[in-house]
Amino acid sequence: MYESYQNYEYFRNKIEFIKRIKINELAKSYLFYIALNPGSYAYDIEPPNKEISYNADTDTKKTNQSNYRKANNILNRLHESKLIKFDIDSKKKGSSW
Amino acid sequence: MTEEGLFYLVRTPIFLRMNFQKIIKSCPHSKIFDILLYPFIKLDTLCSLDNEYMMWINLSFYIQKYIVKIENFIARTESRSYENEVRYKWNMLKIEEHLKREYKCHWIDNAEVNQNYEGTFLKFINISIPSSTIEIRLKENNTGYIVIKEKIKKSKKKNMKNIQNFYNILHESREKKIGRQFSNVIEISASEFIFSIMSPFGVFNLTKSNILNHDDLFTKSLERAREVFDKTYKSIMNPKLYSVEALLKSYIFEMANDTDLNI
Repeated sequence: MYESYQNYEYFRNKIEFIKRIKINELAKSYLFYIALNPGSYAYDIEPPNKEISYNADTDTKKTNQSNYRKANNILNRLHESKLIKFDIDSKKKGSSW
Repeated sequence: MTEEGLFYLVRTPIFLRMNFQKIIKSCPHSKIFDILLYPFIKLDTLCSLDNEYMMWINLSFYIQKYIVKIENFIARTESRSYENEVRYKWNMLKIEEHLKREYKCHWIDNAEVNQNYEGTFLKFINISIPSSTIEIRLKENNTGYIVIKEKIKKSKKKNMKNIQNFYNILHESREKKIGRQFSNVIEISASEFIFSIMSPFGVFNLTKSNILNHDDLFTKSLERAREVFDKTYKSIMNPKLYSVEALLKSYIFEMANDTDLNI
């Protein structure tokens, strides 16, 4: 019975916590991305409604620094809200979520 | 993703359109899955079931449904005061003596006793003649009445004097009450799980069948669901033999036959 009450408290705390969180639509889409692609980092996330541009010489994706910074800020905000965490198992370099 | 992130996702409508298998892989040790999935199916099995779109949609719907159920329960407990709710513990010896003395019910010694958790309802069933019963019901303000049934359609209802001499009042803590009720919310039967996740067009190929077949938790759940389904199927297709009334009738008939043989 005590374990059951602990479970109740666990769910109650989580749900209360989630109800207090306010994030915008863009941050939500980033959260969905991280949920489906664990171990990603800010460079992986494409800005919405933009075509992917490739560097023809090296056949790699061109990285826009301002997009990267924006993505990184959003991910940091999601991390502060405790919705995502650093992926310590990831073998990628840099901030991986 | 964190546990909080998973809760956030589950509560959004888009969750039903997401690839649930990837979500499980990204936070496999979540308490939500510990309670709602892993008693019935193993994590390895879930991770191996690729391309089972209908099953995955059903699984995400199942998870979302239970999270809503838990959330509703929590909302109800927040607005409910548990202070005035008590349980009644009956002094069975005393009450049996009283029934024998007042109503000459000597079968009470071997009776089957049923009562609800709160103790406001107590029922003695004569195991030789199941239609013969004595019910005691508690009402507010420490009053109560007794219903004596000797035949199916004959019953006497009487007020029970000094009923408070036959029970003790137990005061349970709020935590204990909530814990007990919450365990009813999150205890899911295997058949409920299976019926929630199986697609009506569910035919599996050899590989998928083998994956499910080798999961002993899943096969046990499937067996239990099959038993429940068989009962439902029989009671609908053959109500004369398998409806609740028919089963009860045959049970009473068997009991009566046993009593005749014993005599």
